[in-house]
Amino acid sequence: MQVSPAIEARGLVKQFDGKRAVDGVDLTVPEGSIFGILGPNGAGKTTLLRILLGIIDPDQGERRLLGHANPLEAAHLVGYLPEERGLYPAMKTREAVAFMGALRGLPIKEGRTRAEGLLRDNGLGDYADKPIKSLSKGMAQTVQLFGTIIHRPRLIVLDEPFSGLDAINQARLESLIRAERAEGATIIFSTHVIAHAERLCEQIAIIAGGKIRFNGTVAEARDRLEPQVRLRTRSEDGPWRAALPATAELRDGLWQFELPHSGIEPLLRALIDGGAGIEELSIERPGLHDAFVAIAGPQAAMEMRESLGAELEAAQ
Amino acid sequence: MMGFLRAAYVIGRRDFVSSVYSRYFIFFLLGPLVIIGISALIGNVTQKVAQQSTRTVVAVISSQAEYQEINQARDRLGAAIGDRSLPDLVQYEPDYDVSAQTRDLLAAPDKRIVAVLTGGARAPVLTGSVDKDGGLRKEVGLILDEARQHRLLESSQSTVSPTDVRVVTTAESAGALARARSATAGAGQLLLFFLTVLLSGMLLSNMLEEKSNKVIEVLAAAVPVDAIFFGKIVSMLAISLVGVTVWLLAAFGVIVIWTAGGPSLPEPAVGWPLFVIMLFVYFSINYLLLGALFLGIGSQAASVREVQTLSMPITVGQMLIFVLAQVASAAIHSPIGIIAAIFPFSSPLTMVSRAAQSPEFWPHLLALVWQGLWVWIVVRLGAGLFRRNVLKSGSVTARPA
Repeated sequence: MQVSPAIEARGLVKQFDGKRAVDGVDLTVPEGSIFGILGPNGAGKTTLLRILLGIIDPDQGERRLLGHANPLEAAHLVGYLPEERGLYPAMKTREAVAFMGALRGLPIKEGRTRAEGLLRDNGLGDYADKPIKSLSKGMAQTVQLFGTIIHRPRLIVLDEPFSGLDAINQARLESLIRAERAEGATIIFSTHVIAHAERLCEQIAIIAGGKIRFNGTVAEARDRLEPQVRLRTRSEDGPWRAALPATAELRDGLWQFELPHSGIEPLLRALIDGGAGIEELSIERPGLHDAFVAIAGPQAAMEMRESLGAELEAAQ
Repeated sequence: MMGFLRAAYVIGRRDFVSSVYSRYFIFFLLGPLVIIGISALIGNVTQKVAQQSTRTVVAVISSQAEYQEINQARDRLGAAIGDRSLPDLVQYEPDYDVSAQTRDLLAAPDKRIVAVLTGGARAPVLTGSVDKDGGLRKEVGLILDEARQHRLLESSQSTVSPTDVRVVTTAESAGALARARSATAGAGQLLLFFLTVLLSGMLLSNMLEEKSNKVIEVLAAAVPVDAIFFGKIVSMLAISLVGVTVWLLAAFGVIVIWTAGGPSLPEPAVGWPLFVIMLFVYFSINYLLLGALFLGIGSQAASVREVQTLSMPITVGQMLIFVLAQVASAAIHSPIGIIAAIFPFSSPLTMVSRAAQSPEFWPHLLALVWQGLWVWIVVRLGAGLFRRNVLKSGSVTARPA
């Protein structure tokens, strides 16, 4: 039996002020996967997620969420953590979590019971009867995340979930995402932090300028680039230099170049026979960051770094 | 449909609980009661002061015996036509110079004398700021005629017993009934209008909380915006009904205590029980209609300042609707009466007036279906505008999210 995808989108277009925020996006998110949408700020990630969830409609194209053409019909199967967190400040913590579950069809009594358990298991039991406004920012964010998963959704959509969290809470969130995945949920999240996507995702989409530049597994993204060779030799010059590709660069006495298509063995032979005197040689598989730079372009990569830097600064 | 109602219930329940269980709700309940209490107190005091200060006082310069005759005649007439219909009389013994005494009395600011009567009943002269053919001259003339006739009858030692007018009481007359029901219609309309004005304005700023807290994104991703709107206006109606019930019970209690027996408004055409039910139903539908409109308009506002700016034109609009309903109330079967009953925003006020004046029930069923349809249309329009302009759904001139 063929498993239908959790999300399917074809030709999505969304325009604001004559500018295309989402420009002809095709996307398929397999059921049961952890799917990352990578891109710098303003790339169109949030707009894309809002279209997929049915908060806004696209100008063109169509989307199906868990098989439903109208995403709101599947709302009870979906959990959503928006980028701009929002809770009623005067509401008690337990009630806030239960309320978010009730919005998705979970009976309020059941919601309260589950909220109690979630808060207790995550060290927030003492805050169950406290109003949201008495919580720290990180705690409130965690509470909202509990509200996102309280009804045990089949699809969890997280928009920049790591934003504003400290290292401990980021690690806790990663564990939670993996746990939900293990329970069979599909998780899709947007981020501009490549490390999170690299650690968590089976599949990613790289988005820049409203267009999907890449859609596939992390391994496939990395495979876009050849492995990188790093070589240090005793000899500065000699016949062995002919074995290096023309693109090889020498930085701080270390040669760096892509592994030739012919493979490592002919290269090694030529270096030894040419009297290079190999001191150090390593072959590194490219990281997702390298793949991102290659796919989205250096400009997008710089924007990613800038937004990450700004976020870290804000967190400090 | 069940999903829609469930979602609206969840939204409405949250709003209701957060408002009613808030410590500030007691101020919401007490506010109008305090205003009514203070107004009643001030009204009572000022009425007494006004009654005293607006009585017409006529000074009578005469002997004590002559004054007694005139004053007794005044009292006899007052018992028949009402004490307030006649001027108050105050006696002054004649001085040596009566003309000067008259001038002094009219000039004395503390005595509040409007006119001075001299010459007794036989050669009366009324001096003062009095119209020659005015009411005061006729009233004083009536008193003096009564005094003279009484003296004549006494001197001839004959008596005239009061005429016994036989009264035949009918259940009602068309004219009296129409006038009475018109008064009830007016009272019903006024009550409905003031309660709606007082309470529905809250909906203008109702979406600001969700927008400022960014909760709206969570809500809009989970339930249809129509359900959010519907849940909000129904919860605000429920909160208002709690208030209205408390205020009406308090007002009823005060009236019963003050009037020792309860209010005595003319009975409406459909009877009191049905009329009271209709008042609640039409208040509810009027609230939902205007509330949906206000929520739709208010949800477009980005700040409290914008909401405040919108409040004034909206209040003016409500006043115009009230005027239309009042005009229609005077002639419910006229073209203007029918137009006001059809126009959705004046329909509840007009139909309340109709319930007081006409016993037909079926127009009310028709009107309620019609008004309910318009509640739905206005909610849909408001939600559509919210999706388009605030959530930025559809092609609009807006910044990307």
